[in-house]
Amino acid sequence: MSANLLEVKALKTQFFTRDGVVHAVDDVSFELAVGETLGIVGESGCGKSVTALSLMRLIPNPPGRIVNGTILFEGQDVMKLDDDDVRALRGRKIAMIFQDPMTSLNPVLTISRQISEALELHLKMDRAESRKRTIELLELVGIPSAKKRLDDYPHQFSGGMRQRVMIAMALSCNPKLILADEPTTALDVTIQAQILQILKDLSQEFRTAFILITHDLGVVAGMTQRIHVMYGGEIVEKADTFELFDNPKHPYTWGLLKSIPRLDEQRREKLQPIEGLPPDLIAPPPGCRFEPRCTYKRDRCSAEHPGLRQALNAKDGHETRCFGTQPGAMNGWLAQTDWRREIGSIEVLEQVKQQVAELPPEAVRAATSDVPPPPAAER
Amino acid sequence: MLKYTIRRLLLLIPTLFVVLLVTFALAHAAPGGPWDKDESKKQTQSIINNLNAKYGLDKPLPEQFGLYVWNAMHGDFGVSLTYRDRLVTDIIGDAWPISARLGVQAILLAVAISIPLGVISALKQNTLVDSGSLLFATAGTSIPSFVLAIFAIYIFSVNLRWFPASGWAGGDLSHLVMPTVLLAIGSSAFLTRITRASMLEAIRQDYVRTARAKGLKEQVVVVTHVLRNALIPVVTVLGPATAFVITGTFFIEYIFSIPGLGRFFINSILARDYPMILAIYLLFALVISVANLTVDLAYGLLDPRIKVSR
Repeated sequence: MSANLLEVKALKTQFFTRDGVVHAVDDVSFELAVGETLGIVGESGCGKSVTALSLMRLIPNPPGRIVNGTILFEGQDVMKLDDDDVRALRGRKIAMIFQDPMTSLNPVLTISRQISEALELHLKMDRAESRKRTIELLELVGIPSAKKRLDDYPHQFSGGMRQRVMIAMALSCNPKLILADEPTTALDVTIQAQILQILKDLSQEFRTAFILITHDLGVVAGMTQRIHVMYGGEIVEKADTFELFDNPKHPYTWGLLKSIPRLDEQRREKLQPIEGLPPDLIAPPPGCRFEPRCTYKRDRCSAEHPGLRQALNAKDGHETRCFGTQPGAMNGWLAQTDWRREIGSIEVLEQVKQQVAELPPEAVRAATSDVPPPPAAER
Repeated sequence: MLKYTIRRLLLLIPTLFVVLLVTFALAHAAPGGPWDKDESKKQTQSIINNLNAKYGLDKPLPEQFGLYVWNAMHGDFGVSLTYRDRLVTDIIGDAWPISARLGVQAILLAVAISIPLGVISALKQNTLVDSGSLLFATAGTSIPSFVLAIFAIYIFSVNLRWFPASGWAGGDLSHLVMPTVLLAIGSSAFLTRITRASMLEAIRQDYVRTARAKGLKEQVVVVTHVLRNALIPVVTVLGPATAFVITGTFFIEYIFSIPGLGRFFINSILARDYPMILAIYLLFALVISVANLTVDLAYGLLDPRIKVSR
């Protein structure tokens, strides 16, 4: 990792509402190498999407504002750019794929118009050139008879096809980084697998870096090299993908793993949700933000806010924000805990892990179709 | 689209028939008659009988209605019972163009004011501009036009002497300014609010975020992505609003002594001038129907999801 494509340091995004200041993203730091794929995982409202929008400076202001932090993209601080320079970045260097393809395309403009816009703006193509390129892009993302569908409107496409259009739009100017915010959440499982496959092929073909944002550990398993787990606006665990599934450390990550539904279970057992609600980000708990829901907590957890540190008994670079896993006063009371026993059956996880280890393209398909999104992890 | 338009135009026939039937029934259900207005001239029963016989009012109501419809289909809408030497079609032919001209000018001015104002106040939500436009809209809706008109006459005609206080003068421009502006204020007030509301609705949509994520300039985002979606509700109310304004408004025309259609809406009813009532409300129904048809056709152009077909 000589030069990072993206370096985010101490990013803090807040929303100033009538009820108070919402600490949506609090002190988030991470980096991304050229062509790398990073997963950001967490439940609704944990700050994943706000992080992504912050990177493009797309936080609606008011009420939102990035109050602190640096975002170095290709060595350039995005925070310090003026509006024109940020716009030159959006769509050209950093593109975004949004969650809901049903609402993310303009209903009154044709597909070709919406894709061409960026081409004409950033690459200075004329109508004919951008049209030609649009056909290529649509073919690239697997839209059949692209030439005929060029002048169709979004409502004439199915959900999966619309998401392909979104991907084509994001790819149009060969960006260095694509932020995919829950790109498959609104789609059914088979379409999910296809879309993930497309993203994966593209990242390999064009060496585009991806940040894949999802609440579904199954989705990131086969797709990413590293995973960051977010909770309550903070990153609570950082590890590479294999390590995270092999040796998860944070109790919240255990909770997420436990709430993955299992199709191979003999009996219909109830899903194991994480008890309680996500923290109120206007007045977050003073100690560890997961403490109110944590079954392994000690006194220290509610008194002190843990930092993100290297975990005990883990690979180098595997960091957690949990006193129980860090060296210190109580000497990491969770460091020795066998998480396999804690979360119960791990059969599915073993499968996922195997797929991560192999990482052939087919793995994505298997991983996603076996592991639908955990509804219990969602509020 | 042509087929659809023809079908809709054919549907006008039963619609207008029902409007005529209801108007006829209501007009005749109202107590009194066309002859009992003039208290000064004591009219004997025999005079009234003669008048009724002359204008066919002595026949049974169903027969009168049938006769009216039959004649109307042949372009004969009868003679006004108030202005007894004039055909209804002549009166409307003289008065409506004046109202229509005033109305078209007013609605164009209203659109020219309200759409930019609504867009700006949505973009600058909760700023001074927005509050200003809210004040304008609230005042424009809640202050009756005759109050505004009297103030306007007092200020601009009596004191400043910029514009004449009343009259039409064959459509002389200086006579037109005040009634046009006053008529426009009323319509633009609620058009501004609707534009603002639907802009705010559209600007929060996901596809606007997508457009911004492409790196488009804010002006481009607003014009190509927000405005077109936001205009759909505006067009919906613009149709009937136009229909109301171009068929004449009582107060403005009365205050400025404009010989338009507006006063006939009221006067014909007060005078129980049956042929006049029927013709005016038939015209009104026709204009409303055409306005609605235009709106429906405009939908098809603005929003590809609405296919004008069948």
